[in-house]
Amino acid sequence: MNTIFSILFAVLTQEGPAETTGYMILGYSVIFSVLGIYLLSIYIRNRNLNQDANTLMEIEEQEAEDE
Amino acid sequence: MKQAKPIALTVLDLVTLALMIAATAMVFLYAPLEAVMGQVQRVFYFHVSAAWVGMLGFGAAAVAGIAYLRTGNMQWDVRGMAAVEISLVFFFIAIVSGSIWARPAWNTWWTWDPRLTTAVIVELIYAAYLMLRQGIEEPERRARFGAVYTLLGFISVPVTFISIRLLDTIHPVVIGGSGGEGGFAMTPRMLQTMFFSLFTFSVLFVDLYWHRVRLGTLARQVEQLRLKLAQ
Repeated sequence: MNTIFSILFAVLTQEGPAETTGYMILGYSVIFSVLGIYLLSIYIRNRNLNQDANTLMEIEEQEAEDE
Repeated sequence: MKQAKPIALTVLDLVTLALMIAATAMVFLYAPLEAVMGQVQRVFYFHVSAAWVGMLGFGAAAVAGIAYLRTGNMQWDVRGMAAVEISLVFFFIAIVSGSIWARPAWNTWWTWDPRLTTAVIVELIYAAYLMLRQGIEEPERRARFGAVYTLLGFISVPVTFISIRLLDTIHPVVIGGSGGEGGFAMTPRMLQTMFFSLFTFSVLFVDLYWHRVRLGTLARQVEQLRLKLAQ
């Protein structure tokens, strides 16, 4: 009987894990946001460089025609 | 001039996406709840993986630096630059996610512990690399500077790695160690999740690296075209 009471006491008084869900959400929000921003930056830079390349090639063709 | 995207890269994009979804599912659904820290311990899996990829990239940049100095091939400069940029992003993630984990574990957002301090120094060294590069107009000089800088800068990376093993620190030693504040014994499921995350982030690095090298190559072509038209 004493054993049962001691087990029950231990179960009822044991400390559970700390409540840290908010920090976990914050952590993963930062991780995925930074990754997302970096992916977006690669996409935008790629698009801008392609536009620059097209413009420069048009100028080059124009100059070749003028000559 | 527009480069056609290789099929292998598209496949790698899809594999990386699938791995990221699987790793995230493992972190939240497969790995058990840590008994003391609770949910915030789950940040650990991507925190460690981001730090690993950061160090991997800085190493890759040093290798690219050696290759450039040996061959003089500008493509190595593009590769080195790509590796540094991606590693800076991942190292930033590691530092910030570590700080978020530290708040409940150490009761502070930040402390000037040897590991944290050396990690910030590494980040600043490579951030300076990006800024200093932009100040050099001539491509060959810029590439030579970048190669030497990444070689010297890489000295800071192993210093950060071994700092928690040699110095008195509160940062837990994840692999092959114990101690630190907030350290915990890993169950088999936790270990599996950690190694799967490490693998996933390594694949993510390769995928981003490929995209970034293509971007760097395109930037170089545009720069050459500009110089040609300016003459």
